[in-house]
Amino acid sequence: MKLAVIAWRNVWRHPFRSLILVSAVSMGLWAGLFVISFFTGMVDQKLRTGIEAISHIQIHVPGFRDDFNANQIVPDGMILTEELRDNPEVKAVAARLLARGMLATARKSLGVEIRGVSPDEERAATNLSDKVVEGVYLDEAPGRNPALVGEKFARDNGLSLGSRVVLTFQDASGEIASGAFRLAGLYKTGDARIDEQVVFVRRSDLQTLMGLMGEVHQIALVLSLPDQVDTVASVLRIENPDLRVETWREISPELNLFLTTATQSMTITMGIILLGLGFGIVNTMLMAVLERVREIGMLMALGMNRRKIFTMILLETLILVLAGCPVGMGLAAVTVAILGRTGIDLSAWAEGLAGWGLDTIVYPVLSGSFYWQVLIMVAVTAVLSSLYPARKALKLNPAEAIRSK
Amino acid sequence: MKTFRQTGMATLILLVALSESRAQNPSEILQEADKRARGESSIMEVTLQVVRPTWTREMAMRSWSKGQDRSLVLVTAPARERGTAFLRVGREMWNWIPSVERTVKLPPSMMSQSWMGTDLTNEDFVREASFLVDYSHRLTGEETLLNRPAWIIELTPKPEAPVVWGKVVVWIGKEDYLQLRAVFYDEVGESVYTLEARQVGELGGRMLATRVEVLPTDEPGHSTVMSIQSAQFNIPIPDETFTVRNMSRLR
Amino acid sequence: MILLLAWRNLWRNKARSFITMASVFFAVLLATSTRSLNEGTYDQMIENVAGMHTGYLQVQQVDYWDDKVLENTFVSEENLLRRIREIPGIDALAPRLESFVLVSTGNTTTPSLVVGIDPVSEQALTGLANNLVSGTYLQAGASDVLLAQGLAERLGLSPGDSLVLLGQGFRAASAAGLFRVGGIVRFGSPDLNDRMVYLTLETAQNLFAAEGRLTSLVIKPRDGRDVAKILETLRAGVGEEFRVLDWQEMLPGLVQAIAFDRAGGIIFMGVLYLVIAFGIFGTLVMMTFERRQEFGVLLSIGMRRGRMATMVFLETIGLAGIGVLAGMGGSLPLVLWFSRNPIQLTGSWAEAYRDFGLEPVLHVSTDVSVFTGQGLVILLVAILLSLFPVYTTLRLNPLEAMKR
Repeated sequence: MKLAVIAWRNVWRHPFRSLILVSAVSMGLWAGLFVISFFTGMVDQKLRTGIEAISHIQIHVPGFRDDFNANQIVPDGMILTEELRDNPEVKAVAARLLARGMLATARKSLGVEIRGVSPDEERAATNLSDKVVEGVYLDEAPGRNPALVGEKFARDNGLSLGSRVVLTFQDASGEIASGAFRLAGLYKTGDARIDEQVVFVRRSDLQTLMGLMGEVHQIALVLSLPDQVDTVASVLRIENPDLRVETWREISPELNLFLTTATQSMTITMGIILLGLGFGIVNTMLMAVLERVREIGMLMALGMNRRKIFTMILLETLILVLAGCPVGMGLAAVTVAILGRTGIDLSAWAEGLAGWGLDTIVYPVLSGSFYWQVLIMVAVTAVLSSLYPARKALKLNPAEAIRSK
Repeated sequence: MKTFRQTGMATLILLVALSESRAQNPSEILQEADKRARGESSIMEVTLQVVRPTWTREMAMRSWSKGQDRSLVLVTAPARERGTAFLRVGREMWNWIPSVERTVKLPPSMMSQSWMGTDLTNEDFVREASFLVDYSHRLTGEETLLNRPAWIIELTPKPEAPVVWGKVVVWIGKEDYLQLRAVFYDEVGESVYTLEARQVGELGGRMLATRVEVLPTDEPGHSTVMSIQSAQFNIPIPDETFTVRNMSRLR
Repeated sequence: MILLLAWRNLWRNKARSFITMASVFFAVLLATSTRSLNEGTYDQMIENVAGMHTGYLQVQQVDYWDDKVLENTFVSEENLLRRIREIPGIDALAPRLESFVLVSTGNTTTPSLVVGIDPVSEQALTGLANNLVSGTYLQAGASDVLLAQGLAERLGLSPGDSLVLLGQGFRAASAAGLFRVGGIVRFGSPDLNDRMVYLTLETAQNLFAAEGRLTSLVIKPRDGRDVAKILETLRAGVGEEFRVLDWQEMLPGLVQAIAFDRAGGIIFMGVLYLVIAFGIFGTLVMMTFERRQEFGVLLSIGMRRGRMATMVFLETIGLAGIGVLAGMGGSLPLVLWFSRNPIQLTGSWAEAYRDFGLEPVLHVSTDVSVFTGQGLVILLVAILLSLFPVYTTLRLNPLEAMKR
């Protein structure tokens, strides 16, 4: 207790030095939290577009994703869809008819994936209605057979709102069917593989042309709790042994790889920042110890034992760290709050990135649990890095130490 | 790239007409032209020349057709392609390849590909000429082509029709209802390609456009020339001719 | 004179100088290793993506890139090949003839990309044979095909089965052939895994009626950093009828991914510099405070402030300079060691890499510019920070300073 008082006084006896250390700690904490919020923002953005495109879980008949045959329908798909809609763990369900086919204009013929969707379901499951950047969504389109294509796809292929396109695909009997559609809207999801090849039409329009009234090829599920994806998937697998139930990780190994590499760089970056912080603290504390050689020598000569001196230095560090933490956390919270709203435009740092027409703005986000995690990491780093200087102080020979200077 | 669909080869087979009769409004003219061109059987020998700025290539083939839905084309030259056959029944199409002794059913993704490297596409064989059903018609003028007076008729697609053209303009000969020219336009009204009859003559007892050129508008120096060497009409052809199994037996 | 004084001062308090130097040293070490790990990741990404198929450089007929048809191929001439091989820095050169065709088995027909290759030079270029999961690799003179795993599964084919390739040949010729599956290769990228079919170059040229013709010559430099130099030499050397493309032109998606990541990296480097600068600043501040008394004495015995400030500045720069040099020297063996012994990933991280057919290791870049660049940045930071002690000495009140 007495030691704590001495340590407290020491902190105040050298306000400037203390300030430096407090700043170092708060800086480290801020840096760590900022890096995490930035990474989380980046990952979130990519995952959001990625998972939104896939949904959390997809259900098909086995082999559908390879063959895309029109007759590979989910048996009683609409009934299953309604059942899933009532499942409390499922937030939204989208039942779709899918086809690989051609989109033809007078000048071009392009390979596309045609998705027959229910406008309401898609609005709830994938926010498709919000992604329309020009024109109107499927349920507001006047006339029959409206279609949505990606904004970039339209631009690259000379299509515009109101353009007439002919979609050709295989129908349920294996014959080639086609229908005229009119572009009601252009969308942009930010996922190139959707934006550049998926044509959205109404399921009700497509089912007539395909000869698949009331049937579906794919049921996509969005869960209330994304973390539960594996649990929900395994339950669904047991309930529907004849269907293939896949999670987004299985469907998109790229997304999984992205998540992995992002987590990995975040870990590495955190490690490096903590190391930098550690070195900074070690050096500053070493300087402090050097400066205090006389003082410590005096204390030793006065009979304070080495253990106590060691504890005293540790306590000093702890006080400084505890003082730095709220400052750093507060700063981080403010930074994230501001940047979370304005976003960080990466195109400012990367030449030519702006021209890609893709999202280059990252919105940092930070969940509460990270504050504690980083707090602990920074505190541990600070205390660990004060150990060496403290040990150094103990090695001093009292007589020599007093003599110095 | 080469997406000249819809008529092409079908048109070639259809560029056929019978005797004279009178028709006044554009729909009736087209109906009459259509009636004379289809609905019966034919056997033809045709040569095909692919013309490119730096090279040309010749092919020869024999074709059988019956009604609107069935046709069969057998390539007879050059040696490399000899024996290759294409069968169309309705909107489906199969390809027999003698070198591998296989029949392949063409998937939708192949339908818009060039047919044997020509300016025609596979789809051109599959689509029945839908001028009557899918378009509304308007008589816009008259012109003389190949010394023959002809009506000019503009065809505009009906809203629900699965056709890609913004409009099609056809020239139909007044005397024999031969299609002498057809120009296909995109949605903004620019021409995409032209079918041009270069020669008209009598073959198999009928007046025919015996030489027709396919001219893509945007590719000067490119064309495909189809010439009918001989033709027979209204010969009974057994239904078994138009089967996948028969394709492999042709020589 | 001042220089000498500054130099002596450095040695007078070795421990203090050493700590300041050490803070700079660690700063350089950290910045360098971070950067080299980042750049190494990019090199690895380029190697993984470009090296898998596209290659670093391609020579094509001038119109091929914009219109990928067999009409836009060129005749392979020994003369051209020899001229390219003579360019210094080229590791591998592989001729290819590529075209889209349909692959067909009994009932299934699906689009695929046929690539005619020279088995030996392709192996040198992409290490194709290393991806073999069953059967045997292509042999010169044999007419078997190598099939990507995803495609093989879709078609239900295994080595020994036969398949039909069907497409368009050169100058309106037809292309059709019956082939035996010799082997199956696995690619991590679904894009390749679902559509690649490899033939020997001669077989492909035969199939497409394109005897002696190529769509591209694919080039791999010995060192990825030489791409720009080789590109220039090639452009000057191959003639008007050819177009030379580098991976940046052929793989814009990869360029974009790297640009995006680099932009993020710049932000992290900024944060790291901030943390590092704080570390250095801390030691400088402590040093300045500790020496207040000394400065006060110097001032009171008549040393001019300007001279003293210069002295302090020189001292700091000296320390920072030595620290930077030491840091660069120290990070060199570290980075070299990691470049020889790349960091192995384990657990689920490794799994995700392997799922994608990537080696689960992290590479570091040994590019000299990483060392010099980071050394320079830290030196600049140190110089900027040394303004603090300079400022302090200029504002010092000698009486107060000497009190202590």
